[in-house]
Amino acid sequence: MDYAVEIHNLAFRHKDGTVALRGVTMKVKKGSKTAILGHNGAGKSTLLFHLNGIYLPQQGSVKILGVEVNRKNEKLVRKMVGLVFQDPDDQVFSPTVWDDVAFGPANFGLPREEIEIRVKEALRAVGMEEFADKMPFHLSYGQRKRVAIAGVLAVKPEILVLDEPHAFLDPKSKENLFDILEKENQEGRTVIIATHDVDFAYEWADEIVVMREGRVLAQGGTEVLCRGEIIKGAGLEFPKVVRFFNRIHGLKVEKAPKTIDEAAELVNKLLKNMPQRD
Amino acid sequence: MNSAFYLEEKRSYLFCRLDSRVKLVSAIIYVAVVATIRTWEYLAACLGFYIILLCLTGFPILNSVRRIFVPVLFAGSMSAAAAFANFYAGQLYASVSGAVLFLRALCAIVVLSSVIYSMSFRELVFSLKVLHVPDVLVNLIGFTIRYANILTDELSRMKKARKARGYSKGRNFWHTPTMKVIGQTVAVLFLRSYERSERVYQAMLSRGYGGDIRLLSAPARPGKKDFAFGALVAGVPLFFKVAEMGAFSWIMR
Ligand SMILES: Nc1ncnc2c1ncn2[C@@H]1O[C@H](COP(=O)(O)OP(=O)(O)OP(=O)(O)O)[C@@H](O)[C@H]1O
Ligand SMILES: [Mg+2]
Repeated sequence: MDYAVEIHNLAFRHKDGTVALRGVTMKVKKGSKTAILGHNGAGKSTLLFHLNGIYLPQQGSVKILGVEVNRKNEKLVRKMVGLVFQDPDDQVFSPTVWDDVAFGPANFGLPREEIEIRVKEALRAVGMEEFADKMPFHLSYGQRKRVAIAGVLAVKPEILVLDEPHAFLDPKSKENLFDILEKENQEGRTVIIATHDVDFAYEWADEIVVMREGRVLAQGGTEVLCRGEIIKGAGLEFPKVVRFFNRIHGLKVEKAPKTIDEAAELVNKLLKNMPQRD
Repeated sequence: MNSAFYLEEKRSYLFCRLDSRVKLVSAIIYVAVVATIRTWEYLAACLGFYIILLCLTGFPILNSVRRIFVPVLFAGSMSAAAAFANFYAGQLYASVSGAVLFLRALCAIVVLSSVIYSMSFRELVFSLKVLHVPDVLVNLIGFTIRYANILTDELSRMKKARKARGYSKGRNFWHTPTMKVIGQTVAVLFLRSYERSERVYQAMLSRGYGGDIRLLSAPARPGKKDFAFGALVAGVPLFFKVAEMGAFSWIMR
């Protein structure tokens, strides 16, 4: 099995002494869609910073596509892993939107024509094409978030990591993000997100990692999000669809539906199969 | 966000459209020459000439006065101090030397601020790079501007947050709660800005930044207009300098 990310017994303490990670071990399959969930302060962002060498392991190890992350090859790792920060104000700093999206591709030494194409594509993907010449500081928070996402899409990294990409996006942008992540994944990229949105994770991901207090509480398929002890232990809530089906007594389905649409279809089917009585 | 140093609005007036490299080089020559002129009338003439040039090229002078207020105040008090230090050397001499110092500073402030404010961040970095300023220095300037932006941005956020919770300034300097809040604000401001600038730097690293500056777009070559402007800006103080050295006295005779 090929792994995009292999983390073994990773621990990390911040400069002020806060212990953010206490022995994280997890693997992410190549080409998978992984969602990391956990309460505020569980260590999600700290973990993601390790994936492209912004933080180097203080204990344990991190491997990206088989390459050990250390000071020597952090540059190589950064080319393989694109990271969208939780707060776009940390990431978007250039005088214009165009410059900001072009920043990554330029750093990796792409020729001018290629940069032009990539910036255009990335801005179109997030629906910010017409803002190319604007100052990022004059945009709304959600728009800045979209610029931050475009800035990493334009690099076309093999592994795409997004820290709470949903925060502050309006419903349409959220849906749009779903499509973007889906498309990136279909082009062969491994996509990893940290999120508080259980519904999104349940619907989109094929791998779930649940964190609590700097440790991995559970890892597995989306069925992890149907297990009461884990949801409770991590301070999460059941996805809406799961909550709905949990409430219906005596219902046995071989495969739990993932979306409202699937759930409705299932219910319709059940209704149809019900013996008609008058 | 009120980012003080990014002037990216649509600027249609001539001064802004002139080539940024030429502007920067001629401004540096202007300041260097003016720093050596000792006659206050000549200095005043140089300043007057530059201001007229600004007017002719459509520079919004009145809007910009506010921006140079602090440096001018600073220069004024420094030259006043210098003048008083020279007081015993003779009263008239003291006031003249104070005026000379002040005029030199004023020239430098007006010329450099007008040039820098007429450039975008990209143009500034580009011109410095073209002038073969080392990358380290260009980066330093770039980061200083970014840091200043982060600082003003954090400050405006904190101000908003304070206001939203019903804070209002005290009437005078001795109002203790106000002073306490201001003290805390400054302390937290530097801490927050430090942490944010660290994260901004991390974000730059994670997009492959490695310390070298890459220019994406080169502006067009400077044309006749640009060179004419540059020659005027650099030439006029040179003319007065030469006059001061007495080169024209034989013509006058
Ligand atoms: N720069 C820092 N300095 C000191 N402590 C930090 C720093 N960043 C995070 N921490 C601490 O490390 C722990 C993990 O934080 P982290 O940001 O990784 O959590 P998170 O899971 O991303 O939370 P959230 O859902 O709120 O984004 C928290 O206790 C936090 O207070
Ligand atoms: Mg976080």
